[in-house]
Amino acid sequence: MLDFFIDVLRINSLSKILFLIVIIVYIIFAFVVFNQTRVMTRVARVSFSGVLIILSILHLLLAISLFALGLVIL
Amino acid sequence: MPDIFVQPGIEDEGQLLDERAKEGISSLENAHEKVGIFSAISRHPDNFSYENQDNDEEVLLFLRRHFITNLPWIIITVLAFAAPFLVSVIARATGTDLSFIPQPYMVVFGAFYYILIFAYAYINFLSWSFNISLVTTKRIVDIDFSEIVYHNVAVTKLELIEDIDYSQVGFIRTFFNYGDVFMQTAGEKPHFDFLRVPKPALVVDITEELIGKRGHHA
Repeated sequence: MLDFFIDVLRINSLSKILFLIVIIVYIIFAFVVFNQTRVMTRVARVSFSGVLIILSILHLLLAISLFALGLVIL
Repeated sequence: MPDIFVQPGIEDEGQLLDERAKEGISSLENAHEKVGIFSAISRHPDNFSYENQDNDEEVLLFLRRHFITNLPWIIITVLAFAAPFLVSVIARATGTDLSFIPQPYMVVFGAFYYILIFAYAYINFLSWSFNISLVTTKRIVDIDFSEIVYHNVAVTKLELIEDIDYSQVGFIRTFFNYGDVFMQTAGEKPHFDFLRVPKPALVVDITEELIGKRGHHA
């Protein structure tokens, strides 16, 4: 079982493609979160809305950075 | 048929309610509490507004779920954050060799794992932060953002509220003083529920002060 798992990991191209597809889907999710944060802060205006939007942008940028990282080092 | 009784001086129920609302405001006029990032209740907040708020409308009561209701996801976040360290400690203690996982994969999967934890905590905080119930001088507003993509804003006029009560069941709710407030309305939405809000008795008192005297003149 462990040898099989190691062989799977060593199929670099397939695992890399799978991982990148997952990250692309996650980037779409992160964009949805960012958009919904904007909607929320428009409906209910609180003093810390700016912080929440910055965090959602940071989340999106982290997801994109992870995609770039996976592309480079895997 | 001649009128048997005509109540003097009451021409407009809406005008009467507005006068009662002003009396309600006067009792809160010294309570300008700010809405903080962790606030669950705020009386007459001056740093909050909502999208369809009228120019002459003031928010008298701002409510969220009691902060203690966030404890489950906070605990899960902390445990998830510490899990990789625990796994490495356990692996070292049991002599399990994790070096079969290539280093690049460990780095990338680890980064993805922590981004997921961040997203989990962030979305839960957003969900708590923007599920808001409001009592204003004119209306009751219930803003509901569930599951990040579900968005519902329910509004009813104060004069349509027929009945209001609250329940506080169990040790945890009694100890932390939070409970459910239920409002029956004559509007399209038959009831408004403010669930797990702090100081439910105060919420009922303030809302009754705005609407309760109307019943004596009805």
